[in-house]
Amino acid sequence: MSSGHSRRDPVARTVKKQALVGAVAELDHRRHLAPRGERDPRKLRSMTALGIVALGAASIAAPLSACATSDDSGPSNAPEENRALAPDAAADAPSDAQAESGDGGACTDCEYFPESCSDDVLCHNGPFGPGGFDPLTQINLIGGRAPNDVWIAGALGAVAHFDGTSWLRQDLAGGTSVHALWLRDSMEISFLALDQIFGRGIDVPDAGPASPNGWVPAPTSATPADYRGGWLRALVAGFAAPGATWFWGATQNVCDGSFSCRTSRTSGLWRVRFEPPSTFTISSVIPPALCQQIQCGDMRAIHGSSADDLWAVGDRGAILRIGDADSDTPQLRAFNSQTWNALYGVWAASSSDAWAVGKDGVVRHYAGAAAALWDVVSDVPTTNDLFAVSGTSSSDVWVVGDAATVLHYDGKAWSRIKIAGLGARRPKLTAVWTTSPGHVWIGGQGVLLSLGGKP
Amino acid sequence: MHRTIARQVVPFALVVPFLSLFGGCGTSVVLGESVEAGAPPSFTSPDAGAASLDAGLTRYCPSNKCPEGFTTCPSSVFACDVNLQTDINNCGACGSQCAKLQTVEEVECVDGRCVVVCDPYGNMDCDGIADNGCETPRSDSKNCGACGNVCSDPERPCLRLDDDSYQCGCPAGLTLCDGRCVDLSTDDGNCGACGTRCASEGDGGPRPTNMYYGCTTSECGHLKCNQHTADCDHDTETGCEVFLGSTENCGACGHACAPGQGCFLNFSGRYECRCAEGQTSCNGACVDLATDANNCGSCGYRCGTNGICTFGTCSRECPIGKADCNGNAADGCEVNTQSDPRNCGGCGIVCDAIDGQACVGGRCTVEPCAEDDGGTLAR
Repeated sequence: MSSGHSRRDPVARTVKKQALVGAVAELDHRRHLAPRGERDPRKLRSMTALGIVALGAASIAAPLSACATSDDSGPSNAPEENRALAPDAAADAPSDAQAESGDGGACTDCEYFPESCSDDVLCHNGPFGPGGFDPLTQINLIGGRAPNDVWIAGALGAVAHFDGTSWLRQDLAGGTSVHALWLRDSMEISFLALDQIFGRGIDVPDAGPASPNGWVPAPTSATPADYRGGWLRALVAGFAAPGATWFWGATQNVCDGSFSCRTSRTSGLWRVRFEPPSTFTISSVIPPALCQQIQCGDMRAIHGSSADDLWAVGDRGAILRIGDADSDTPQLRAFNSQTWNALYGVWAASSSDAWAVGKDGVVRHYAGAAAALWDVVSDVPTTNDLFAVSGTSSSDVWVVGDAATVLHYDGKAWSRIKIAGLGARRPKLTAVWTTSPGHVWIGGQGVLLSLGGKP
Repeated sequence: MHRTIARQVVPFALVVPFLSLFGGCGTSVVLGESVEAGAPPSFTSPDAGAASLDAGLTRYCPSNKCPEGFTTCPSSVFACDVNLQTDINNCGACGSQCAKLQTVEEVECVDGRCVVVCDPYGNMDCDGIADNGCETPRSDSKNCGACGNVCSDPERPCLRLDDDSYQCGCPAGLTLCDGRCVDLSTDDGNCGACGTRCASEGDGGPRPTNMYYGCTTSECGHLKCNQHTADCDHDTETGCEVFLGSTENCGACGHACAPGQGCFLNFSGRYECRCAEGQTSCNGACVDLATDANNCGSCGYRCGTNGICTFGTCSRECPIGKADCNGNAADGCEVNTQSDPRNCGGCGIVCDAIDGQACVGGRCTVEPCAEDDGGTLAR
């Protein structure tokens, strides 16, 4: 079992409807959704396979070429609705899905949101509700070591543990948001940023008394010059396979008006190592100039089927494979995703089977081809943004996204999974983790769900 | 000081001569066509004639013409994306740019004319002459804070007050001394009359701790506390024995800070307890981690350009007329939803009902249907 392969979107979009302007009137006004051009590989021109490069202290073995440009990134056809970050009605929303229309009319997606829970429907199960997390809390990640050792973490200190029977809050003191979680054998490490760390089961000298839940701030002994060079980075997600020495973090450049930052986005991948007895060291693994050649400056998610074989995805359709990831000299190879849209989530079932999801319902699949190319998955029944993916095999894949979207792939076809008890809410779902076929945890804005409400 | 939206507008005659319709490129590409100003479409116009429905409404059909006021210029990215009424680079006509002044005034295009806009806290346009812009300072005794507000009494000149407003003479209760408005009853440098400075050592005798002799009830010689101290026990012999910068007495006698708070000077020079409940100290500043886009969820976690922080989670909120259609951080809100016919009013909303249909103001263009088009074709 591993943690951290689910994530959330830090840049959700809000589209504001505009008022009628000037002499433009609309009575017989027609709006047409664009074809999903970005899904059509023919519209992407020669996004070629890329080379392999040695990372770490060693110099680049060979220069990498960037993905070729696209003549048409394709209009996306995301629905126009406002996408509020917070659940619109929170916990006290009307329980009747009919309430969505406001006039007693039927909602357009009622069939996916029944009132009652059943075995094949996702239902509430988690630390929300009275005495639990604030309904505005977003769950950023779900992970665990075993079905009876599951963790969730999210906004403003929200951390909780499932012991196989019930959820127990393990909040961080100070109300800080957790973006990545490293579950070591006898230690839990929460990352606010790669250099802002809280640990449980760790003995930090002079840390003062631990919080009621055992979290203590842990120091980072060293930070690479290029990590803080010029501008800031925001940690988005992280991952470490069981037993791994290194924890990998995906970051985004935060420019704050820096022209150099906007034009020369440096590495979006870093790794952190625990230095006993109590400190952590951040290591730079990608030379800054490399991410000006390939898309690796703004990464969103990372996951691997083993400690030495990781996949990372990010903005502009970036997909990178990291070989020998737990060694001193990791190898990086860039793959063609056949999209310029941002990719928000990745999950590797095995060394020859991986899935990525992203903006506007984009799903990509790697089936082990020798070429550095991921396949377009064209039969996905949504155009909503998809934020996380997980599963147990290539015939049991779960994808979650915007507007309470949950999809399942059984190896042959995609199906939309129903969610009970949401009422009029359609929360953004940002994290998913599976323990075994038929057992899935899904988290998002103000919700934690499982099939039938069972673990 | 924040600038207000309302600003004074001055017609401006310095307009760059009309440029050529098409730029220097060898081949010009016409993206659309402009139309002469005419009656705008109306839902109720009786002149709509046959286009009117029985209900008195006008049926509209997709159009490939620019609506009134909009046109396609050689510099256009999209068809009909220029509003000649407001575009500073195409003010009144394509290529007619409003020249920037070498002064603090801004130039805008209003109703197709270049105008100078006066800063609401800067100079004003009181003479009504456009070419000299905003010529009158707010401290002008004949236009004190507003055009025509004359300060006729020499004893009450035009003064700038602490709130950056201007008025004739000092506010009630204060007296003008050497250009400042002071309270003669308490001002140690102007006690009872302008220029009367109190001797802080009094008559030379011993002074209680943290006390000096100053001005009270317009008289010198009264014991007063030094700055940031107080006589909390009301015993003059012990002087002003309490320092008001401690967590036990923060800003006032007995005002204790809550556990975890510190006592710090604020921008007004007074001590106050920080941080308030619900706030966190980040590099000395008190912030709300739930909403601060520069400290979203933790100190230093920034949401970046167009980023907002909601309950400790970053998201991107694009300005009106812009949208992030690809989710990529580097290009931010990369789409112009006001004019892009492939993303008109929102991502992926395409104006393709007829060839050349434009997007104006986030709406696909329409016009009154022709009589014989059955409501499905544009004229």
